[in-house]
Amino acid sequence: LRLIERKVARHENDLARATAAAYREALGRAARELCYWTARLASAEVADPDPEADHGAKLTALLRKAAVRTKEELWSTIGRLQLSPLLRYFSDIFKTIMVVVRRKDASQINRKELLANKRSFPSYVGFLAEGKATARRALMAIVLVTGGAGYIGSHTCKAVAQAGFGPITYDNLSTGNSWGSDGGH
Amino acid sequence: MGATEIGDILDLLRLREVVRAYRPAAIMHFASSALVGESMVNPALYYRTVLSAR
Repeated sequence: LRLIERKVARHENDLARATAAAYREALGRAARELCYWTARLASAEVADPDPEADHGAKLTALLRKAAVRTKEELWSTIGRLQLSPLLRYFSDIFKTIMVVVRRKDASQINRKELLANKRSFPSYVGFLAEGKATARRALMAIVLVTGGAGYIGSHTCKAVAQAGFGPITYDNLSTGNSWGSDGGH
Repeated sequence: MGATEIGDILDLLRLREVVRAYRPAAIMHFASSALVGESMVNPALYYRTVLSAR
């Protein structure tokens, strides 16, 4: 009986490991997507209507309610909140997405045994750390363009954006040209 | 295209603030004074922006 028990346990462990790997991969994908969109949003021009508010908690509640599934939904949901200094709340947002994705993924896996055996799932803290590292890499995509409102600078901004980076213009606007680095020129 | 932060290239404090806020991976430097006439009238400004801008 002990032998059978051990065999079953080993089989279950293998199964759990395999599922956990697939699970980790799915979460990693979601994390990368989120990081990318957060970085993009952080470089977008949006005003913070209420700097004192706890956007992290607000967003957490909202995302839970909205059951965000695609990056477009995430984008519009975050956009609706109009968060400007988004980076500060990044960890909170990320935590929320982890919860959402995790729940969705767990339902897809749909194995009561595995769900009961929580030890077989990789630790939440591990995911969070992994996510933060990914975020740091994603945030590397911001490029500061000094003189970005000028002729060369504005065209550089365009090229930088087309190359998939987030250009930020730094300019004193002294010469009063209307090249307009913002407003989609 | 992207956000615009208004600040002078000679304003180190402001520039530092912007860099801190965005933590850019790269900085592309195109800020310059480039008017020949003005450079003759006010060469000191041109010396600062072109030669010593940080």
